[in-house]
Amino acid sequence: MSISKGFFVDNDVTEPAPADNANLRRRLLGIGLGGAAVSLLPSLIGRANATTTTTATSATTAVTTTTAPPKRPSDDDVTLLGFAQSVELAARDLYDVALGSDDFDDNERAVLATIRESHDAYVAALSALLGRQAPQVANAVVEDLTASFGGDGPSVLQAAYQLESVAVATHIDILRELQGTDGASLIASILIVEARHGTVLAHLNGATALDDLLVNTEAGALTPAEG
Amino acid sequence: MSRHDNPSPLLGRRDVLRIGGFTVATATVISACGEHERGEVGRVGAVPTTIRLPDARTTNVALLRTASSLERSIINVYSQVIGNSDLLDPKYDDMATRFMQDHAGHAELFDQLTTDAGGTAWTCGNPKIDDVIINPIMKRITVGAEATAGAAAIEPSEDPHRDVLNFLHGLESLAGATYQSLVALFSDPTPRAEAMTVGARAARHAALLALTINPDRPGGLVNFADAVNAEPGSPPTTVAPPTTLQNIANQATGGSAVPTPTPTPTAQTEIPTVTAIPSQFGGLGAIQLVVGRGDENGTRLKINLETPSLNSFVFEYMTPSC
Repeated sequence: MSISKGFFVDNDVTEPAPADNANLRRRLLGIGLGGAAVSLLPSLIGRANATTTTTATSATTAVTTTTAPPKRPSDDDVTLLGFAQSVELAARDLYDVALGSDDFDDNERAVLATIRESHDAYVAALSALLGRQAPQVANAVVEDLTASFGGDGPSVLQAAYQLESVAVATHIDILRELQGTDGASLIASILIVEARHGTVLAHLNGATALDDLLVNTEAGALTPAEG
Repeated sequence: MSRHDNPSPLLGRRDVLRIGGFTVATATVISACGEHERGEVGRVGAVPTTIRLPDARTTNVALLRTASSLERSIINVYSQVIGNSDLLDPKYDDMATRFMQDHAGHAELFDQLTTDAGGTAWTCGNPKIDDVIINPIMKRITVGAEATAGAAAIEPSEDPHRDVLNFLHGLESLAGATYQSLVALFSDPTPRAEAMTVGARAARHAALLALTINPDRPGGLVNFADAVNAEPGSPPTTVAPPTTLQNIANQATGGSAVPTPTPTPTAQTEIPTVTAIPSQFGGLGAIQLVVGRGDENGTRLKINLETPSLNSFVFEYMTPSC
């Protein structure tokens, strides 16, 4: 056997081999892809199921989730908060009238001056929230109550007690309509301290009955129409 | 006969093994990379199914139930001290009874609002506040604290009347602050207004308690710094130091805040003074409460009262157990 014969023999033997190997590779690839497809099937089915479940959950969530309220004041809120500022301005001006009197001892004066400063701070806070839309005008209640705040000590304390109750009632009414949480939070932080003002003023004026000290009967609220 | 006459079989044993191994390996890799249920860790083998925690959503109903729970927790405290002269001076029974009646009315209001909002009213105290605030404080006042490996036992409060009044003041202040904080969380204006109606009443309770606890004037009436800022030229003549020990049980001094006579060798933790109008705006910060007798180092129990949050809301999935 010559090398060349052997070469040819080899050629003879190996000549068809590429065709067999190609077939084998194709079959192997086909089987592999088939196996992969079979193995993916449950996963794909599972994904289809999972998609359905997720959709159902989302639908449930959409039904139960409530809409978050806005933070910034709406146009209507601006009107209401402007009205609240006018009430606070009126209160500050009325305490200025009261502090013009000499009919108070040091403790009473300290309390009245502190409350006056608080109302001034409320005006500033509402101005900060409203910006240029803040009215910066005192409510007309100033004219109605100026005489009461210019009387003797006990009558001034009584008038101040009533004014604080009016402010609390007014702010609660405003809260019933405000949509934005920024304005509502500010009004809440104001009225909860004004509620305390009433108790302290009643105490200063010598009240001992719990109904008076706790302002059991809240005064009527001011409304923008009245203002 | 050439080798063409005896071709090898199409698939030999080795080929079958190769194909089988390749298929298994491919399937394993693809399965591992495949999509699992979202949010769940893939698992191997048979294990028990885990139970998902219920959804804790901060809805209006959950907030209203929280309000009901807080009112009932406060009522529980009043019911423990009213009529118990060791804890509450009998002269304050009427005031405390009135406050408790107010809270009962508030709880009913919040129950009704909860029902109106489509929820189930919560008729128990707040579990978290009871466990973390109320029970430890009442225990420290009335029983003290047991000895531990590193600390000696602590006796009951040397002045339960003082501590109970301060505790009630803290709870009323907490209630007011809570309703103020809920205003920003409610999605609807109506419950905001109702909550603040109740919050205003709680704030007045707190103010009246402060006037009772702290007889300094104007220190018990208004924040001293605010008073000075209001009239810089004429500061109040009677000034309460910012922190003093209150001895309201000592009638000889009118219950006024006085420096500690320090009959004991170890100085006790100072108790913060309270004021009827503590600030210009309602605050939402922690209210520090100091109660009970001090330990061997004189350290009393300090607890920060904080408005309810995610860990103390009464969510809709919770069921009362009282």
